[in-house]
Amino acid sequence: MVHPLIGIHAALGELGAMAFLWVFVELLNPTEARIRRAKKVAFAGTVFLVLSWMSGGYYYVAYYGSLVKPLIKESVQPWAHQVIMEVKEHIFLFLPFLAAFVSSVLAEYKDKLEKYAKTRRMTMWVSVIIVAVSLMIAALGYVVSTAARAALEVKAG
Amino acid sequence: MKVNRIGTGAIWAIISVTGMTIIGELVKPVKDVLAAATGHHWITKSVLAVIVFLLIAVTGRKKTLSDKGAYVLGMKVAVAVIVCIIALFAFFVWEFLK
Repeated sequence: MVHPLIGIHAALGELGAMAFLWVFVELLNPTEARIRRAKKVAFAGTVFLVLSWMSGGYYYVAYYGSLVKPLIKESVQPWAHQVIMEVKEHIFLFLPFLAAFVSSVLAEYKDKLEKYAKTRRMTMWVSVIIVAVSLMIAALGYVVSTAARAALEVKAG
Repeated sequence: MKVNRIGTGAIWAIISVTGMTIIGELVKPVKDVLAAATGHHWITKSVLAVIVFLLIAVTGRKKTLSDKGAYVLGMKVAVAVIVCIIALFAFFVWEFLK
């Protein structure tokens, strides 16, 4: 059975990604109200990404290493762990810091973003990077899950 | 906390995760130390990255950035993320193929 923590980790990560997509949209044509909303949404997105980090990290340390990793490493797709999972588990650590950065920009420049076009563009770019990296991590997770399932099927005969 | 402190903290946290990961894979005793410190290398890297981030976010130089200054800092954050992602991908592909 799929461990519920995988679903919780993925769902929280997706909520975090959606929050920063929302921030991006709010900043396309900013008004005072939109910036205020973007600030709240960025904070929520940061919380989602931190919780996703914790739930994914707990699953990785408590279950993945002892149950899934050996299965994938012994399969015909060892690269799913040795490349994909190794990259995924480390790139994931970047997201909460990026999210905290966007949140801090929105908190500190909330009254200036309508005038500060460069800062607004930069905030949008970093938000897009958060969304892109989150989607990439979801895709990498899909590859790892598929490899684990294939390894289990082979083992079961 | 100021944006310049948090941005700089984010850059160094990201670089430290990438550095610890690559050095840990190349120098086994480093990975062993990382694993022994908390019971798992990934937890130690996470904790150290948070410590690096908080140290800079709390004690870094306090400065209010101009529009251009904030833009430049954000671009540095973006470049750090992209370069570190490429470095990790390239490193683990190379490790797998060698």
